[in-house]
Amino acid sequence: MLLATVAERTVELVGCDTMLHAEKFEQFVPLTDRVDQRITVETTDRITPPDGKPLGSHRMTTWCEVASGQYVLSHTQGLFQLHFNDDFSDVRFFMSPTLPKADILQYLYVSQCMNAHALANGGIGFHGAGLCFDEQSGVLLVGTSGTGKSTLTTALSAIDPTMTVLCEETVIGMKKDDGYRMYGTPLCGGNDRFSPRFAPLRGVVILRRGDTDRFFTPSSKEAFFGLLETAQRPVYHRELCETAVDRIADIQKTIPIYGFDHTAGPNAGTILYRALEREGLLQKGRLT
Amino acid sequence: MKIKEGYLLRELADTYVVVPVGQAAVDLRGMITLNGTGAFLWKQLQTSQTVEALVKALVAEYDVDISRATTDVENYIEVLKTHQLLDDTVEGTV
Repeated sequence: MLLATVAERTVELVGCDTMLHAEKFEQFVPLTDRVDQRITVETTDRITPPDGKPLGSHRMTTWCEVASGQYVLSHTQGLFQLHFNDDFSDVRFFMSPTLPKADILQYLYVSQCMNAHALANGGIGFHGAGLCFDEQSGVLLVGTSGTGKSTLTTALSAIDPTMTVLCEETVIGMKKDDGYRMYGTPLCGGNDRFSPRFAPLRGVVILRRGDTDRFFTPSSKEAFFGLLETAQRPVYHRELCETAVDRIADIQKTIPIYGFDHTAGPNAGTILYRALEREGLLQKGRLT
Repeated sequence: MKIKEGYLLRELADTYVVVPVGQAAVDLRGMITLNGTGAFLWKQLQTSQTVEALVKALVAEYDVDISRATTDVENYIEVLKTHQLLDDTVEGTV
């Protein structure tokens, strides 16, 4: 009787995990190349130090929520302040003049706080591409680096010019009365294809590179691993981490999860599009 | 012996998974899958246990003889030890 399988699959965490692994910092290009016009950065010496209980801390930084969607981060060299609006469409980033103007730190802190805010408010962040069809059906493509999110997004937008992209980097799923909605974030390397601000989440596709193109329904274990692998889990913060795990399990119960192994070849986009049609995630008949 | 702090056991549709959180997520960069009996033993090990107590609990819960249960428990403990998932500093060591 097989009782336990340990570390069946090594998980490469992305996003928040990078705080723990400095060697991965070089994976991040400067903030200015990774965000769109929805984020503003301002230098100011008028940030008030927080006096509440820190929401979290790591290494040289602790952060507090000072109002809904507003966070102050205390760094040994100064203060950051972040403001999000409800649909993550606008992020304002303030920083003390004493702080190093390290784009990478800004990117990480925006990502950290956005994810903490999502987790505390019924949501969770994923490393993925949020696609919107017919302005009403959202499909989230998740996958680790190199699994073809951008390639497939480009292929699908060529097939269906009405498809819009919420984001190609960090997508937030938030629980609402009618299920989950996915929100794009400014951490997306924006271009003019990015709109609207949110869409109802109708399905999640876990991407993997393979030798053949295959769209399938994964086992519950595969689905859970695929989501966990691409979710932003603040691994150094037990409470938020537990919340993330439970939220992933809830998404798995609520939203259809699919798998797509693909070669990134010329037919991959068409195969995926037809599969999404078949599953009722987008309007049929557009692809001839 | 007991399971170290920092692991969450969750039941999925057809399996059980254990996810490390906090410092444990740094120590074990992976996940653990369990079948029903594995999950049963994991739950037992959330409090301090001996091998004898685990065998007894397994025999009481499942249709398995003591010899088979002993072998399985010992193998299970070995897997946990290999991956440093056990806290041997508490009472009730092997």
